[in-house]
Amino acid sequence: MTVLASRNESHHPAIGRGVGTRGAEGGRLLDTMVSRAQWPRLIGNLSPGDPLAATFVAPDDYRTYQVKGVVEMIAPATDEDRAVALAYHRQIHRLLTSLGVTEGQIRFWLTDSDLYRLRYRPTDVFVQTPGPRAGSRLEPRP
Amino acid sequence: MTGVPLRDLHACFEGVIPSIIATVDAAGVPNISYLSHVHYVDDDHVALSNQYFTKTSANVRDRGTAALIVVDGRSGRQYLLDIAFVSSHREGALFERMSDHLNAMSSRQGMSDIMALRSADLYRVLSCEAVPAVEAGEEPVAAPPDAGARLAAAARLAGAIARDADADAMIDHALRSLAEDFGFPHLMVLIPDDSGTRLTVIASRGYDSPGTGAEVGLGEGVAGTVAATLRPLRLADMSRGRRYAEAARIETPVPRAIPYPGLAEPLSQMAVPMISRGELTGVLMAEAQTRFAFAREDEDALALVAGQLGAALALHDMATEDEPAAKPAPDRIAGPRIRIRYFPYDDSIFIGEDYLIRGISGRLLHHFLRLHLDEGRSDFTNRELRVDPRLRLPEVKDNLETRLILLRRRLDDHAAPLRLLRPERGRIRLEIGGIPEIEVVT
Repeated sequence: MTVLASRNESHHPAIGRGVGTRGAEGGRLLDTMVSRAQWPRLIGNLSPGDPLAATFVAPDDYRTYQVKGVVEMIAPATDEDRAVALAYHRQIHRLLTSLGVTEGQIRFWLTDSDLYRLRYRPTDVFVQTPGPRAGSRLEPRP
Repeated sequence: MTGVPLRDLHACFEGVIPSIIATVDAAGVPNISYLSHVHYVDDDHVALSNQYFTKTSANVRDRGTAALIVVDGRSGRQYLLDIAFVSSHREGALFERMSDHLNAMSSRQGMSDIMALRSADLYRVLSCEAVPAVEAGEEPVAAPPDAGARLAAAARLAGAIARDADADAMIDHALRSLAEDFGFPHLMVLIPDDSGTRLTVIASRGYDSPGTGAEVGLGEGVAGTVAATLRPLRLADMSRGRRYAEAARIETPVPRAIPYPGLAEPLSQMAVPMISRGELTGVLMAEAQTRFAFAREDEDALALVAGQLGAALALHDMATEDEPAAKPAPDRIAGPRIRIRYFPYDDSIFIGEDYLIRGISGRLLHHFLRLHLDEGRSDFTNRELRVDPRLRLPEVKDNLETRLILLRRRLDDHAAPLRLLRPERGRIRLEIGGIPEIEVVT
């Protein structure tokens, strides 16, 4: 599961959900797919150079990481991007229903309507898994 | 506050689907975090569970505002709230209420240690709007019960219970009405034992087997938690994570264990304490196989009924009784031998090979049988039991009446060749379909 936050010029936050992420440019950048129709404020706040936060959580074991990044590009999703989102839909749907989440609880946000690709450069990764390490910075391997 | 009224979002505040909170730090960097529970306080305020989101807390202290997404656990519909920090609470009713709920939910998921509540943070809601739904089709969702109607029904039931002549009838009356008038499908009344470590099922309704006499440890499951905290608890969707096992459910036969009657896979549970003079007299519990079976209004109604039931049971234990009647001539009963084994160390009674009951209820039955054999008596009074040193009843709050109710119901459930009758208040009659043979096992 992926949730994202941007902020406007007066530093008020906006929230959105991501529906699929892949590495880009040899893993130096990340692409996360977002429905603009559903999360207009999240997208509306973002231009290249703006800060972005994305939290990724594994629903089955609560492993959680937050990526801080800087936006490189925002563009309507290509067919290739949409394929990433649809593959994510299938995967997360299977996982969540196996955990007892109902169809109705998922359907509202698992969408590819008005899909956009957010490309951003990660600057920091923090552990957010509940527990003593929550909040610590993930250091790159030496 | 502008937008959708918070009270219409009740299914968002059950802690079923994690909420999302976004903040911005002093340098303008956004932060986003999951949040296990948003609690409805009133139409202008919510409280957030602060467990470990330190960055969020720091940002909120700095800027005072945050954005929040809450999700309706039934329909999946999402709502966006803009909120402003008011105050942080590390104790008090709001904190305890949220802490109980979190402990119950996280212990289901085996995460109670790391999910402990640090504070309940109160926020004012500035605006609330629905997140656009872009996919058509929405599951119809039942409206919550009418709060006024629930309150009126609970008040009627509480009044009706008070007019019942004896405690046994009150329990039946309460369970019948909660099932028929409130539509609560599975119900249980549990009472604490003398050691204060266990609850015993004294009555139930809606289960395959009544399970009278089955036990639950204090602090275990929803009923055990309510007994330990003396506060109500309601869980709206228990489908995810490890089942919040009522630990007393026993799949393999164990000596001195009566199968717990509760549902194997409940999706909704609520329980409220029965309290009289500050002491726990029991727990009233309801459960269902459907999600969101019980709303806040249902919990309030159950609490009202439990209050009346708790007070009434305690009153029955304190009521003065009539003088003992002249003892009727003993009836010598013919019939088959009934083999009874009594284990003084825990006051347990077995009929044949079958475990019947333990604790004070077991001690009472042994006493009745002993007097029946020695003196040919079948009639007893509460008063003589209270003063009989052999029974070693506590001098204050002996809970004799509830122990007798438990014993009577257990004998009925078990279809034992013994029955306990209550010809009038304060009197007990033992009916035996044979000749008891008591073996005391030490």
